[in-house]
Amino acid sequence: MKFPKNNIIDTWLNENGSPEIAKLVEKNLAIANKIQELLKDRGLKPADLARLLDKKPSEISKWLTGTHTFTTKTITKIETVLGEDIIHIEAQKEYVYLKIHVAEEEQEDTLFENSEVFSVESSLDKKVS
Amino acid sequence: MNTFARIVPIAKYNKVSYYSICIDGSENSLFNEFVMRHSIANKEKLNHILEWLKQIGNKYGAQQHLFRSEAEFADASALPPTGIKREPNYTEYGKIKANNLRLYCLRANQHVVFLFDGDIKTTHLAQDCPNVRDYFKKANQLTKAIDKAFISKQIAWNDDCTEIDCGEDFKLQF
Repeated sequence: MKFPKNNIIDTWLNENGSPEIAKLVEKNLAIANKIQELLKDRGLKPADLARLLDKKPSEISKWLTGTHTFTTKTITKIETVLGEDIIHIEAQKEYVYLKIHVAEEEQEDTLFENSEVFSVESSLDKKVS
Repeated sequence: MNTFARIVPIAKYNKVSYYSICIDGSENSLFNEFVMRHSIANKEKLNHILEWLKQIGNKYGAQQHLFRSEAEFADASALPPTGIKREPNYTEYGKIKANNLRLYCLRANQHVVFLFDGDIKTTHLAQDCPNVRDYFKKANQLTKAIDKAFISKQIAWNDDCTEIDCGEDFKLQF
């Protein structure tokens, strides 16, 4: 069975999709997935997380589906009880401004050529030859 | 009277292959009809579901906890998922709202999902909702028929169970 080259899901999203919804779905799924991973690594079940956070298991189930829009407060609570960050915020960049002085092109020094000494020597050469 | 249907491939992503069903010789699959019907009236809700399908397809696979069970007499599911007794939510104009648009489907395994049709659900139970009742029933009928076809080997898995195969003339009966 051959799949169509241009599928209806991508086509619709390319023509009508909202970047905001795309980002929200992406982030909610990523957070839910990360929580799942942390629970698995620690040998915990969603019910254990519910107990640690004093929440109902149904609440945790909803979080893990990726449909929940988390507040930073909830994320922080989860990070605290699981002992690992879920969201890693990039360190603020420190900018060092460097000023580069580009020397202006010096004008060709023609003073010497026009100097008396030069002229004298030139005339001397001529005399020699 | 038996209804006949054929399986059509819809979209192939890194981790999920999506299929749908064309009923009684129709050119449009149930999923195509779902998308066309909700493209204007429920654009943002549809956007949310399609984006969900794409992201699951590309990154996570069709894990069980990402679907909601809508089983009546067969193992049908629906999108978007939710916790027990809680509506799934999504964002519309920056506000969190319940996404009551349902797309009924069959999650065959972590890599293969059949997408059917759906509508706006207005009651707690799908059986009570005039909008989704028929889609819900049909999803369960189709799920039962597909399950039978898997058991009778009319639908076969590929080597790594990431796609299915069935003869070109194969028709589901339900």
